[in-house]
Formats: sequence, C-alpha cells, structure tokens
Amino acid sequence: MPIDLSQVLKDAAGAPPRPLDMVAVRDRATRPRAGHRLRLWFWAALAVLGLGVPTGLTLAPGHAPPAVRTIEGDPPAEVVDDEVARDPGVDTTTPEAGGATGPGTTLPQAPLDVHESASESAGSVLGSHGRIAFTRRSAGGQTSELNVYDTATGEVTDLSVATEFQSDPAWSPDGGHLAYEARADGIYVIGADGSDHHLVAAGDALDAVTSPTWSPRGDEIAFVRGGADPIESGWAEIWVVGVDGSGQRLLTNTREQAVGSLAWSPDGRWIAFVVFETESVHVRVLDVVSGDTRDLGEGEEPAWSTSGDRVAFMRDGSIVVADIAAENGVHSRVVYWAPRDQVMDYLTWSPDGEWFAYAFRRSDNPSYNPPYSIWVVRADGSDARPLLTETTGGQLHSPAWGPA
Amino acid sequence: MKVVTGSDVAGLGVEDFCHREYPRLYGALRLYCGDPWLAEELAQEALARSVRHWDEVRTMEAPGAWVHRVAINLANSWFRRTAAERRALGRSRPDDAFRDPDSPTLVAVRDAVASLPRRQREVVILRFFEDLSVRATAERMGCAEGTVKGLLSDAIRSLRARGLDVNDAD
Repeated sequence: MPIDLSQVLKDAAGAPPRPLDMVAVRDRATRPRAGHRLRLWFWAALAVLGLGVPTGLTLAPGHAPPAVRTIEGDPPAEVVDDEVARDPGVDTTTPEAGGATGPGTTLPQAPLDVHESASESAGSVLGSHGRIAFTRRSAGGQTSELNVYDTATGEVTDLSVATEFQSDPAWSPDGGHLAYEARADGIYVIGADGSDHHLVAAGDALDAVTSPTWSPRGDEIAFVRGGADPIESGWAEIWVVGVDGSGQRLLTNTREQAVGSLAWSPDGRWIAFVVFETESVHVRVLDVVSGDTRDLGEGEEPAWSTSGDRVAFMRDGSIVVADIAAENGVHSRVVYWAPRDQVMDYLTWSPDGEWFAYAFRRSDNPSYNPPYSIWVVRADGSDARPLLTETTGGQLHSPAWGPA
Repeated sequence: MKVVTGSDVAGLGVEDFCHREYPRLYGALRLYCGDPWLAEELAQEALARSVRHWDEVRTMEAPGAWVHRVAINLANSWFRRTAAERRALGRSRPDDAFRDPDSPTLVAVRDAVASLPRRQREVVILRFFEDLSVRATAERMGCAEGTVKGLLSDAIRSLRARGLDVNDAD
C-alpha cells in the first residue's frame, strides 16, 4: 500500500527536542541599537539639508544598468588548470623548526594571542606587511567587533564601533578607512583611527546590504543589496555608492542569482564576485563598464593581486590563483592545499603579494559557530602558520589585508 | 497544517507567534536539512529575526510564510557555506553521536527527502508537510503552478527510485 506522504512527513519531521527558548531567541534578536539611532540622525540630517533621501531602489535618471551576461559560445581559448595534486602527507600543523605553534596547542591564557614561539614569532616572520583588519566574534556568535592587527608592531587595536555585529571589513586604497557591514543595518565607513564613522548605505532584514569593496580611487564603494547573506530574499544585485553615501546606483540587474564576496580590481576595471548556483559557487569577474562577465570556475572569496592581473580564490580546500590577463584565456593553478583536518574561509592577499591570510577552523568541529583563527601562508603555498587565535572559543574572522 | 496569516497575528504577541511557529519551522527544517540540531539552530535564528523586526512582520499578510522563507534561506546559506567544505573534505559531514530513534521507515523517508535537489525538497515540504495547495506553493516559491507540478512529479519519481512506495502527487 502506498505511503501517505503527508502523514509520514509529519511523523518524520518530529517534534523539537527542546521547548523554544525565548530568552535565547531574544538574546539573538536584541542588541544595543546604536546603528539604528545613527541611521535616524543620518536621515534627519539629510532632510534638514534638503537633500534627497536615497532609497537605494531606484536608478539615477538616464542610467540603464548594463545587462549582465556570461560570455557563452565564446569561451576562453584555453583554461589551463595546473592542479598540484593534493599530498595527503602534507601536514602544515607540524611546528617548523623555530616556527610557530600549530592548531590545537594550548596558548598562554589571554583573550587574544599573537602567536609566539621560542625563537621567532609569526609576526616577525611575517615582517612589516601592512595591517590586517578582522572581526572578533564571541563564542556562540552573538557579538562581533572590528579589530586591526599591525604586522609591523604586532599590536591589535579594537575599533569599538558602536554598531551591531560588524563583519566583512574592507580597506580603502590608502589604508585610511575601513568599510564594513553591520548586520541588517547597512554599510558603514570608519577611519582607521576610529574617527569619521558614518553610514553609506542603509539596509534592513528585508533589504540587506553586504560585502563592501572600495574602488581603487577610493571615492566609491560597491556592495551587494539583497539575497546572498543575510538571506531574507533569494536574489541580490551589485550596487555602487559614493563614500559619503551619495549617488547610489545599480550596477547589475540579474534578479535571478544570489551574489556576494565582492572585490574591486586595483585598475578599477573589474569587480570579482561569487555567484551561488543551486549546488555550487562560482567566481566571476564583472567588467564595470560593459557589464560583461567572465567565469573563473568554482570557488569563493576572490582576492586581487596588487598588479590587478591575478585573482586568488578558494576552491575545495585549496587556494587557486587565476591569471586573467593571459591572451589565450584564463590560466589558473593551485598554489596551496590545506590539510584535510583544516577548513579555510575568507581569503585576503597582502599588498606586497607575498602572503595570504585566511580564517581557519578545524574540520572535526561541526558546530554552527565553531572557533576560528587567522592563519597566513606564503603566496607560493609554503610556511602556513597561525597568526591570531581567540582562546576563549570565539571566532577571528573576515580578515582583510590593507596597507601599512 | 495551518499557516499563520496576518489576521491570525493581529492580536498576537511576538512570543505567542514564536511559540506557534516553532514546531512547524523546526519540522520543515528537519526535513530540509536532515539534521535535528541544525534545524533547531536555524529555527531559532529565523524566529530571532522575526522578533527583531516584529513591527514589520506583524503587519504582513503572511508572517508565517515570511519566517518560513527566512528559515529556508538560512538553511540554503548554511549549505552554501558548508558545500565547499564537504567537497574539500571529500566526504559527507561527519555523523554526530546522534542516533535516530525513529522507525526505519521514518528514517528512510527523512533521508530520502533530505537528499532531493533543493527545489524538489522545498516543494515536497510545502505540499505534503505544510499541506499548501499547488497555488499557495507556487506563490511561496515564486514560480508558476506548472513548475510546482513538474517539481512534484520529479520528486515523487526520485523518492520511488529510492525504494519508497509513495502516493502520487496531486
């Protein structure tokens, strides 16, 4: 006799294992709403000054967004994928001679550690390579604060930004400012010294804004509105806004794909981004002027070289570098394989091109908010080592490498 | 299964709304994700967002549908994040110490539904777990009724291919 799917599904769904914990739900939902108050003042100021209030949902008069299309039927003449076979014997967790400690090692009792070892620190091996902005999240993921690590001094600065749950920091080209995403509130800009804090693009649960990236001239910020993350809608588009919050305009008009992880090329011509397909994630580059896109294959978290001719991204536990300037197509090669017990996330490239940094967690921790550390690896795939660890079980996440 | 509409919520407080929605949300997510702990986590997160935006949510025509949409999108976001990890690890996500106490039939149905492609999975849950009509399912998924029927047929075929003798889709 056929199964009554309706009844069986109700039985199969079962009941929640525990009653709903409204204290926990309210704890997730309610935070000091300084960002909200800041936004109200922003709108009020605009009204007083007699300026238009950008809704973010209309196009500037006369502007037609370029049609975004994938270059189909005209693929690159050759996609060379020089894959280095993954060596199951490679274990970057083994401390190198005089090198840094590996993951899982108990570190000195401090909330945040810059790794030290007997003979040399990860910081001194790194040398002076600019500053790394990152988010520091509490265990459980309820709070998230912007921090900056100076590779020259080893100092970590907490910017103590008064908005809710900061993430996805992005450096201005001159290193003087950071753009970041405040969950469900909008995209903000703040000076690297904590000054000049202001909203540039407002969002909310129904119209989220994420993934800021600066133009190479430092006068505009591209970001994602809707869709990918947070996720109250199933589609997202790429927008651009002036760093003062003016002139918001739509750059793409797909209305069918979820996009994220924007990265503006140093020459200003391209914006790299990811497209969330049904069962995979692809890295693409968007020609800002024509609207044409080029697919670089499966991957996430694109990061540009300073020269602007290469894009690094993560794919299946590896770091891939794609050369998009090659005349006969896109050449890509794997430069680093993470060991199987490690999971990488949020890739960033140092301004001098010598190092990558990424968020790291152990693969044997399946929890929804596992602990994350910041690791670095040389651009040739050697010398992977931890840089920053949160020893109270929280997350150090979303690294963004900027100039000194 | 009754879906909470705007008229139902009009006089309801946010806590009552959350308590009413939670079992349905959890059930849908349990079927969608196949993981009871993840379902619990995602259901709480979706309800937290309704609490945060209660002033807007309570005036919606279909607040239950909104929080369901948020929950499914949260699950999809989680899948996107972990899909790359699963591919990198070259194996399925480790099975925790959880031991499913249900009958083999329920386990088989749950596993079969969780293995369906995303849109087939969603249409099966909306039609057979939430008991929505084809039209309501199409509205919820933002697609045509014909698309819903096609997805249902494909889903039923997939479930039968896994050895489940299920009744026909409407």
